[in-house]
Formats: sequence, structure tokens, C-alpha cells
Amino acid sequence: MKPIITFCICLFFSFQLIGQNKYTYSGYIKDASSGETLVGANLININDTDKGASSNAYGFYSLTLDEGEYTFVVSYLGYQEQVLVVTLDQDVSATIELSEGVLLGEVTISAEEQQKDSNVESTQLGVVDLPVSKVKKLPALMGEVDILKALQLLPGVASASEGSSGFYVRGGGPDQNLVLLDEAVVYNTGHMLGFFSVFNADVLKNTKLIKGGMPAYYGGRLSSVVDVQMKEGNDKYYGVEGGVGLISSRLTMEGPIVKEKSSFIISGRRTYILDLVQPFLKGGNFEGTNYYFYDLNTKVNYRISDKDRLYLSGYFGRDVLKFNQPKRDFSFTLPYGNITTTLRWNHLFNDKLFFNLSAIYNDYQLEFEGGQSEFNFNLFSGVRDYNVRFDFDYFPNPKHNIKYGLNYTYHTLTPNTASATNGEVNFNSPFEPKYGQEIAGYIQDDFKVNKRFSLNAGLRYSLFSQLGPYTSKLDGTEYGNYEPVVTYDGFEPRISAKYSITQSSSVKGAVTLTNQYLHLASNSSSTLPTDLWVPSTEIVKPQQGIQYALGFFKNLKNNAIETSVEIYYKDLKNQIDYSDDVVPSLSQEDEDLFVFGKGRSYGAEFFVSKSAGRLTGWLGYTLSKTERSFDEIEGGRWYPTVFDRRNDLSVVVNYKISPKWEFGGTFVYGDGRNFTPYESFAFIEGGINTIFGPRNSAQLAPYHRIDLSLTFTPKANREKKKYKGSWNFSVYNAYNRKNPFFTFYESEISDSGAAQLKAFQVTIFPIIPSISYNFRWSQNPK
Amino acid sequence: MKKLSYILFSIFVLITIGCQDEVIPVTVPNAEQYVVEGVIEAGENTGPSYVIISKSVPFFSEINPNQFASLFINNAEVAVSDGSKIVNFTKLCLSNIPPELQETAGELVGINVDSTDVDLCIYIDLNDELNRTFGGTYDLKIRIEDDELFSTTTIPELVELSNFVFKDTPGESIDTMAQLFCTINDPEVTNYYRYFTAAEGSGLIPPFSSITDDVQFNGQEFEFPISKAELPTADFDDSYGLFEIGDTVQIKWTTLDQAHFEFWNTFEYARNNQGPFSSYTRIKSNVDGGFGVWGGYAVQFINLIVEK
Repeated sequence: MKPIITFCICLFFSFQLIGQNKYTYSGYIKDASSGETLVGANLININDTDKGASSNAYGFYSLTLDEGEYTFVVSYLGYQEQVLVVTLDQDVSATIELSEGVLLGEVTISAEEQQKDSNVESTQLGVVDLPVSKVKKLPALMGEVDILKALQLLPGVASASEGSSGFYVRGGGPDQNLVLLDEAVVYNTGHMLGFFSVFNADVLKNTKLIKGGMPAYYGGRLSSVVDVQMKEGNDKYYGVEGGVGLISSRLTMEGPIVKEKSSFIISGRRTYILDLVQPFLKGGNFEGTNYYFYDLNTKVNYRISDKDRLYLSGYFGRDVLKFNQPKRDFSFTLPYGNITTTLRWNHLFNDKLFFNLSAIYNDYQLEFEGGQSEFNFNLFSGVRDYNVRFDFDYFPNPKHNIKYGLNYTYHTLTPNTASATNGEVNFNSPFEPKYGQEIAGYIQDDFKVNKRFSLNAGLRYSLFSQLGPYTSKLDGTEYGNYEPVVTYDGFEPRISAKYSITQSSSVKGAVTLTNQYLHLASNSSSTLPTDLWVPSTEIVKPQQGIQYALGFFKNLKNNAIETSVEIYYKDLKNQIDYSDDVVPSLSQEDEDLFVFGKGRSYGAEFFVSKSAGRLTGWLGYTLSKTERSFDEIEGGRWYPTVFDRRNDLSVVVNYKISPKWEFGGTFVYGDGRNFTPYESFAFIEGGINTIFGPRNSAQLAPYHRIDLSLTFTPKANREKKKYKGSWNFSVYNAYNRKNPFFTFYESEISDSGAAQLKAFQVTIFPIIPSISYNFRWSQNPK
Repeated sequence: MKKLSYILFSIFVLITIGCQDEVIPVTVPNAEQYVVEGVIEAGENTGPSYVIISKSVPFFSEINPNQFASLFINNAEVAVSDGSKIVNFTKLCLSNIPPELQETAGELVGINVDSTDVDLCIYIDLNDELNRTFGGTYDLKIRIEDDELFSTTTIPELVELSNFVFKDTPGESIDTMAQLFCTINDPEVTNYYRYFTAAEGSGLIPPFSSITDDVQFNGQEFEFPISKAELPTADFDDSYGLFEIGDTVQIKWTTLDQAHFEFWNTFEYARNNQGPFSSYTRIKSNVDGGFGVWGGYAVQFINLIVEK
């Protein structure tokens, strides 16, 4: 309780300091050409840099200062800085518009304080904002720009497997990442078994990764937050953007519905590679077999008044596999995917108090329908949430930014429910959906104590109830609709603090406690669409994690180079895995196959980033160790996880050769993935059968590769052209490294009758060149 | 569901260009252990109970037929209790049986007797003294020098199949082949089933997926297809799992208890679960002090001539 009391005392005294004749400067910071709000743009007060502000998740800023004249520098990565002189003798409401591009040499303010930026100045650590424009310059597998794969290039983030968009953060499991698209949880982030993510980069505005020091605003996952925001759509001019690639094409349209008041954006993407082979399948054994995926993103917004805005955004994506064997009268279809819908209402109660109400619906479904002759089989599983959240953002004075709010979610989690018909006989699996409600309240304050010291202190309270209808497996009690079966709750204190050593360096520390009530255990070495989410129940207890992080941050060359070193230790309770002898089947619920244990993870992350000039990029290195222990697995021995990677290195380079040519390159190195090797074999029923060794006691060969890209923009010099196109040439795995994807074993018998088992390694991505064409048409050529 | 992932993966590999290379495997410490395979059956035409004992082998050893044969333990004492009496099993070695039966005995343990000169032994209730009945419980005790191994199994009540009928092949008809259907009337209790088939001229073998529980169809009566068991080396072609017209075939349909089911269920899953998305499944042994299975079967043999 001590931190909470201290927090309240500080809050109280800080409000006492508020004097008379104070006025508020507030409004939105936007992109000048599109009207898109800019998230996290800085409003630096040159007169007193400690009394600045930054825009919130909706682009809103608010700064209350003594009466007087102030000079502000407004900055945002990739945009021209703007200098504003503002006389505050009354409350001022103003929209600040920034233009894209950096005009070197035009910076008129040279105060030393400007050296500070969020890398050293913010209280948060383990936070990375990844602009989509940066991601689009990276080489991409088959030309498919992928935001989640770009995140894997950051220290502390490991990929699930070769080419996968699945990821692990600081030793957390794949279910411990909270992935949000416009505040809606995305339960399955991968297309095509995770080789591509569900995020179409053309429609995204901002991606924020939080891997440590998670603010109290976020909850429900132990390890990380990936907060993805969709563009709102240009409210001034119409535009079309798209691309044609080897496996898919994309098209995005945006524009004003009512100029500078309302806008829309709609974007679609679809793969077609197997559509092209359909004529060759005709008349064959697999006629009608196909696979494709598609995404549809859409968003509209409407400014009702200066104080009220409405946003409605949606995502619909599906993977569809159709398998057909006409000769055997056998066929099935397997569609799966997410739907998310977010309705948001922004309201300004006054120029210091910003309010957002979100009503969110999300639904992940996996279906299977197939059969042969008279036998038909259906399978369904999914997660459906109804979620409403109330969030307040209060800017009482420059020292404080207080956020508080409430969140309610109603979950429906359907396990694998199967039904089959064989002639006139019906079969139904005995499992019913499980229901739960999650309630959370939070308060946090970003508090600038003095010029050197600031802290972000927060407290979250979360409660989860499993709800009926349900029949207890423990004592047979029957629960009716919405009747609580079991309830778990807990306080989740979050605190992070920063101390500035100099104007360009700081140390930061954070302690974060998190609870997680929904779980996904994967018994595979990768994440799959068939993996099931399960709620906390009377059998499955909530996961709990506590993370301690410490970092040193230093900027060089006028913020052009950012460096950091972060160390962390993570302690995880109630971790979930499958038992050693699990056989996935429709006969048992997943929770009956689980074992429960603990985890720990620790490591150091080194990061150097250069964001200005013709040569940009970053270098990230992680040294880490991740282990789990379960009483039922080898007597509780601590064993490394599949994704434990002692060494992980990423180098990202982007070089603007000329206005027309741009080069991109990435190099990644990671220690090989752990796996459970065969220990011995036994002869049973006349055949060779294998006995496994200790869990994850062997390692695949190290993983490394280089990807290269070259972007050619033929008419780059003609800035006023309405139509612009560019060609992207990419090479994945440029030196054709045979990275192991998995290993398998086969027995061989020699001529002399001697038998031997041999191991083989399968590589799936050799050197892969690709080409894509991207275009953009805008009513306003700027 | 993982099989669906494999299909998706295969399509993806078609789009890319996968390749495979032999790799030098990781060496892991080998904990040598005794491997037990014991069978006790009840039902018409079932044979005497037997136990085969061998040792596990380090995974990447190269092993010739003599070394293979020497893995089998021939100095064990094996005893089984049926609740009323204890029967000491007789060691029966290749050298004890007539040459014309040696080949059949070799097949039982998966060895070509002509390729080895080591005398291979199994343990058998030679005089069929055990009271093998539905509902019986049988305790196994093995002593090998100073080591002791224990296990218990039961033979549950038999749930028989009926109404065998050969039908036309699904999809495009194949004149020379037929699909076998039969009916089961599953009782309202938990049951576990396993089956084997023998095509004309060959022994009984289990199909690729030979074992199931009845969770999906508990208490129901329905017709279902029985696939012909194929050797692991068989091609997955249009005739896979179908019976050839004119052949005489045998079906061995069995009911087993939960521990016995769990052994074969994990055994089959572990064997079939190799690939890009596999993890591992440890085989759930029911033998204390070693690895393997001591399993009771309630057996129904069905002999049929394939005709449409």
C-alpha cells in the first residue's frame, strides 16, 4: 500500500501548487495534408522544457500554464518541426498541423533543452513506436510488408519460427502479448499459419510495442502490448493507394465524406497465387482445392462539434482452405479469421479533461466442414468479446497527466465443438462454450516531479468471473446463466521512474505486476490457428507476472542517435503447458490436459538507433534466458522454453542513395530453437518406436540471414504529380542460408541388414527474390 | 486438427521451395531401460498370453541383426496372477521351436530369423493355465537379475461388431476394390477400442490409426467403415485402406481398458507426430520399473470374403 499512499500525497501537493491566472492551451496535432491526428507528437515549451506536453492516443494535447507568452516547438518523427509563439492571456484552443518531411537547416530553435527527446525523457522504458513508413522501407518476405515481423527485429522480441509473424517478448509465451487493433483484441494475428500477419500496412497509422513498464491503462496480458492504430482517412482530399505483389495485391481508398469534418478509409488485400493454378487442377485428383486469405479494413469518423468526435472502425479477415478429392468423394473447407469492430466517442468535458468511450466487438472463429460419402463432420471453435471502456485523460497542470478509466468485457470461449452425421445418426461433442466477465479499473499519473525526476505511477484492479451456464467438474454444482462459478481478482501496481543524469542521458526503472485471465497453450513449436484460447476456470488459475526493469538511455548528435541498455527480470506464476503425454483430441477439453507451473526470464538488451540523415537504421542485441518448471514435467526440473534464445542480434539499415533509389537491408542472428530430442528407441509390435529425452534439451543450428531491398521511384523528383509509383525489389535470405525449420527422423537399413535412424533438417526459405509495384494517387499532390 | 495445419503447410511449401539435408544429431545421454510388450486376451480363438522383454537402444546407434537380437532379454523370470493362481511363464526361444514355426515367431517381434544367429526368447503361458475371461484382472511381475518390473491390466467386457457388409468405394468406383462397413452398438459406459486387419496371405497388423475411445458416440448404434491396415511403406493411393475383391480377410476387433488404451493412444500419436508443428508426446507406459505395456484385450475375430 505504501506506493499508493505516496502517490496520493504527491498528487495532492502538486494540485496545491496550482496558482492563479493559469490558462490552458489545447487542441489536436494533425498531419497538414491528410488531417490524420498524430499520436505522441511533442509540444516542447522552449521557455521551460519541463512544462511541455505530448498528444495522446487521439492526437489531443492540453497544457495549462501561467499567463504569459510562450514559444513552442511542435515535433513529430518524420515531420517538419513547427515553431509557435502563443500568448496565453485566456484559454486557447488550436489545431496544430505538421507537414511531412524534414527540412534540414531550418530548425530555428537551438536551445540545449531541445536535445531531450522521448528516448531519454519519457518515464516509460521498454517502449518502441514503430512508424509504418519505417516498416515499409524494410525488405519483406515475398514483398509482403509486415508490421509484426518488423517488431521481431527489436531487442527483446523473438520470432516464433522461420518466416513467422508470431513472436515472444522477453521470455513471455505467445498468449502473453496483448495485440490491439483500434483497441480491439486480435486473438489470432497470423494468416497462412502465421507466415503473414493480419495487419495490412497500408491502412495503419501507428504501432506501439510495450515490452516492459506496461502502464496501468493496459491489462489482461503478462508480457507485452502491441497497440496498432488504423488511419482515420484523409479529411481533405481523396486518395488511392495500392500495390501488386507476387502473392497478393492491395487497394486502399480514402477521402473526405464532409470536408474537414468527416472522412473514410477502406482497404482490401487478397492472395491469388493458388487461384492461378486452378486451371491446372481441373480434371485431376485435387480439382477444386484452393487456399487464399483476405483482409478488409474500414474506418469512418465524424466530427460532431469541436468537443465531440465519433469513430467507427472495423476489420474482417479470413483464411480459406478448400480441399477436394473428387475421386474419393472427399472434401472439406476450413475458414478461419477475425472480425473486430470499434465504435469510439471522444468528448472534451473541458480543455483539460478528455474522455473516450469505446464499444468494441471482436470475434475469432475457426470452422471445419468436411465429409466423405454419407459421413459429414463439422468443427467449430472461437472467442467472442463484447467490450466497453471509459477512459479519461486529465491534464491538470504541466506536471501531471492523469489517466483513469473502467473496462468491462464479456467473453465467450468456444472449445472445439464437433458434430457429425453418418447417414441418419448424429454425433455431438459434449463440450459447451465457457463464459466469463472481466472488469478492470485503473488510475495512472505521469508526474514530472522536478527537472530531473519524473515517474509514471499507476494502479490497476482487475476481476474475472467464470460465468454459467456451467456444471462444475469438481463437485457437480450446476450454475445458471450469468451466475458466477469462480471469481479471481487482484491489484496490479505499475510504476516506472526516470532520473535525468544529463540533458541527453537518463536512467529508468520499472516494476510491473500483471494478471492474465485468458490463456492459450500451444503444444507446437509454432503458433497455429487451431490453438485454443481458454478462460480461467475452477481448474485453470489466472497467470500472474512481475517484471523488474532497469535501463540507461543516452542520445548522441542532437538526438540523431539514440542508445539504450535495458536489463530485466521476470517472474511468472501459474504458467500453463500441456502434460508430457498429451494427445490432442476432441474427447478431452484442453483444461484437462494442462499442467501448471512457474517461469522466469532475465536478460539484457542493447539498442542503437539512427533516425536522421540519409543513412538510418538500428542495431539491437539481446542476451537472455527463459525457463519454465512444472511439477508434472520431469519432477519440476527448470528447462529452457522453445523460444529461449541466449543470443539474438538484428541489424537494420536504410540508405537513401538518391531521391529515386533507396536501399534497405536487415541481418538477423539468433541461437537455434530448442527442441526435445529422441533419446532412445524401443522395439514394440515389430517396429521401431522412439523414446524422448529431457524436454527442450537440444538445439537446432543457429538462425541467421540477410535480406536486401531496393526501391525505385521513377518520378520521385516530381513532387506535384498526382500519381506516384515505385518498384520494390527484395531478396529474402540473400546468401541462401539453410536455416532449419524443423527436423525429422527416418530409419535406414543397409545392405548388410544394419538399421540406423538418421536425422534430417528441413529448410523452407532458400534465397527468395520478389518484386512488387506500389502506387499512390492523391487529389492533392502534396 | 494438426493434420489440417500440415495440409496448409504443404501448400505453402509448394509456393516456396523447401529442401532437406541430413544433419548430425545432438547426442543426448541415454538411460537404457527394459522394454516390455505383454499381451493377454480373452475371447474365441485367442492364443496364450506372452511377454516380450528387450532393452532400449541409444537413438543414433547403428544396429545389425545380431545386435538387435541380443537386445531381447532371455534371463528373466515372468509370473502373472489371475487372482486365483500365479502362473510362471515359460521361456520359449527360437531354438526350442520347430524350424517351420520360427519364421512366424520372428515376425511377432519384427525380425528375419535367417539374418541372425542369436537365440531370441519370449515368455509365454505355454500350457494356457491363466483363466482368461472378460472382466478379469491380471498382475504381471518380472524379475531380471536384481531388477523388478510390475504391471496390472484388465480384460474388459467385449463389445462386438455386427452387420459386416462390403460396399462400393467412395467417390469414383473402383471395380476391384470394396469398402468394409459394420455396425457397433456402443454401451452407455466409457469404452476403448482397437482393431487389426489381415489381408490374404499376411499377418494381423494395426491400421495407421487403430485406437479410439467412445466419447463422440457413447451409447449409440451406428454403421462405420473399417479401413484395411496398410504397412507404413504403402503408397497413399486411390486404393489405400480398401479391400480387394475375392480376398479372404480377417478383422481382429478388441476392447481394452483405459491404461492400455493410453499406451497405444500415445504410442500412435508420438509415432505419427513428426513435422514442422510437432512437439513431442511421451508414450504413457503402464509398466513400473521399465517401459512398455502389459495389456488385456477382449477379442472378436471376424473372417470375411470380400465381395460386393
